[in-house]
Amino acid sequence: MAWIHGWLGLLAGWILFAMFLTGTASYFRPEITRWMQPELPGRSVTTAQAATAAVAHLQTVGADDVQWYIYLPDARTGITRVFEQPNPKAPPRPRGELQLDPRTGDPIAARDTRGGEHFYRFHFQLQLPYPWGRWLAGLCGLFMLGAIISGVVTHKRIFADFFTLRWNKGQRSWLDAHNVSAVLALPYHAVVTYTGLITLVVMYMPWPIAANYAKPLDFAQAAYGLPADAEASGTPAPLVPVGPLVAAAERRWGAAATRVVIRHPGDRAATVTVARHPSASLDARGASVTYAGATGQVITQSPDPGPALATIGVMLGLHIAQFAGPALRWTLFLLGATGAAMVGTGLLLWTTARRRPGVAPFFGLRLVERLNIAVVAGLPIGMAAFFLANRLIPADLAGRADLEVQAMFWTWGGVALLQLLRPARRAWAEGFAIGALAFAAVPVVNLLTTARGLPWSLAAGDWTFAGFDIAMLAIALLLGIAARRAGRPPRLPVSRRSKVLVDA
Amino acid sequence: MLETALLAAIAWLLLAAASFRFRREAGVPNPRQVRVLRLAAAAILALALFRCGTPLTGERWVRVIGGASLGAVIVVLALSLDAMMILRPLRQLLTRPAPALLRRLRREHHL
Repeated sequence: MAWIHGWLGLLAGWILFAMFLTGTASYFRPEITRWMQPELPGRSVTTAQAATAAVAHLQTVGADDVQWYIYLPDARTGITRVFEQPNPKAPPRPRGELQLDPRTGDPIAARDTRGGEHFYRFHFQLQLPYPWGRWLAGLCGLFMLGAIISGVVTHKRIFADFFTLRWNKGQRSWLDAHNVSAVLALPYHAVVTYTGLITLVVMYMPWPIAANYAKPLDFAQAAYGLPADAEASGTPAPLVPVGPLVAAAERRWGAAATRVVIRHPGDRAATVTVARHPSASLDARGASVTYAGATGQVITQSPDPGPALATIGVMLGLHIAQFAGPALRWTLFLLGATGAAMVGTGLLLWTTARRRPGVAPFFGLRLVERLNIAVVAGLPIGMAAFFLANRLIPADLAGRADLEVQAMFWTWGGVALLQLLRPARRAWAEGFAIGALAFAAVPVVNLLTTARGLPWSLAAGDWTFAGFDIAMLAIALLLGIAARRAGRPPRLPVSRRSKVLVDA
Repeated sequence: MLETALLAAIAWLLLAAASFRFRREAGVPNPRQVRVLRLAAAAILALALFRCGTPLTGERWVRVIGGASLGAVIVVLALSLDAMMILRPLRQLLTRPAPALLRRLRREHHL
């Protein structure tokens, strides 16, 4: 079992570390996006007001569209986002995601960025083309599940060592750190790994749906009560005010709305589908209600999910934790960090356990050690480079969102290559030190390039920006401590007998 | 949530004091005291569970498990730095002489 645990952890370890780190950051996906678009105002209006304003804008620019998607603002996003599905017969014009002022419905100019969405997508797509990234992430998730089960079986002294963490004892310390980070947050690790696999289970095992439905969309319509995509009637009819429909849907659920989808606006067959906010339930697949766009009458509403759909919805909800308030989200963030620590210490333990004093390391050991440095020390530097690029690349430069992503991967790759030029111990210390400097630079660059630096955010009570900058400084501090410890020369093992002789 | 994590941390501290590893630092030589500490820890964890409810069905369990895990990480990190100092308040509580009234009650009831 120990053999299985070691190899499962090693083979998937580097990818799992990256998945844990970016997945942990994704708990704050909207907050990261807001920080990365400092031009956007943080205005609070009701969802009904925001929907009314967005529809007014869309009616002026895309009255002939087939469909509008309106993502309503909430306390975390603060803005309205809209997408248009154009009429194929209409003359082409530039379209894409639009960000609107929730109060006025006017488009807001903000720097182009992937924001927190980049970490979220990387977490399960690994920057690989569809579907290979998702398959690889699923395979690594499976390895992780195997490593968790085999780790519990292997760890005979799981209760005896429950409170044991000893520093400065070489391999013993790494084992303690690995055990502590794994065992104390074991429920979190098990749940997040299993629910992560279940999240993409329909992709990994499509056959039950393929055997019973002609198209996946048919399954979705049957399972979630989505209305069939009706054709336009061709008879014009004005759209009823959407704001009252959103308010009515919210009264029906006793919870906020998150999304409005309007099909065939301006046609007699128009429909308005309002979806419930995921914070209203552990089930991430929220309820929806569809109104006739011309009359405002309820056409259909999503049925109560059966046990199977409720189970998968709750599993998805537990994984992405959109139901969680700030305190629980921070708790999950810290537990996610223990997950990254568990994988990182496991990788380090593999090398520490195989290194022999006075013996030149074999090729596999050197390879694993260099990969460990490249991933454990290099990825955080890449993430910091992503944030720094957001502030340093001119805000109006075309294609800047891609440049930010490239900055992360080029920096990560550069660190991974440059560390090969340094002795391993120095490379660890220097890698962590560069990471500490890079993260410490993020709030400084933010202060110098925007009007939303830490002092001003604190003064204005803007906890999204202040919290982000403080988190960067805290990460810098942690990496600084890691650099300091990694730079210390190793303590030579001293036998008890020689210690007694020296003391005498 | 903070309350849940703090309550859980106190419960883990009591369990750590009752554990074989930290019994000496906590000044808990008596098996009966160990049992009392474990019972108290269980009661505090139950209190954390009952006090962390939210309107969302099921979130209570997420909160208590998350808070307990976080509390455990904090306690183990703290104990790894200086167990004697962390357990000092508990040690003082457990080893101080019983008040006169308690001594009289014990004597009268032959406890």
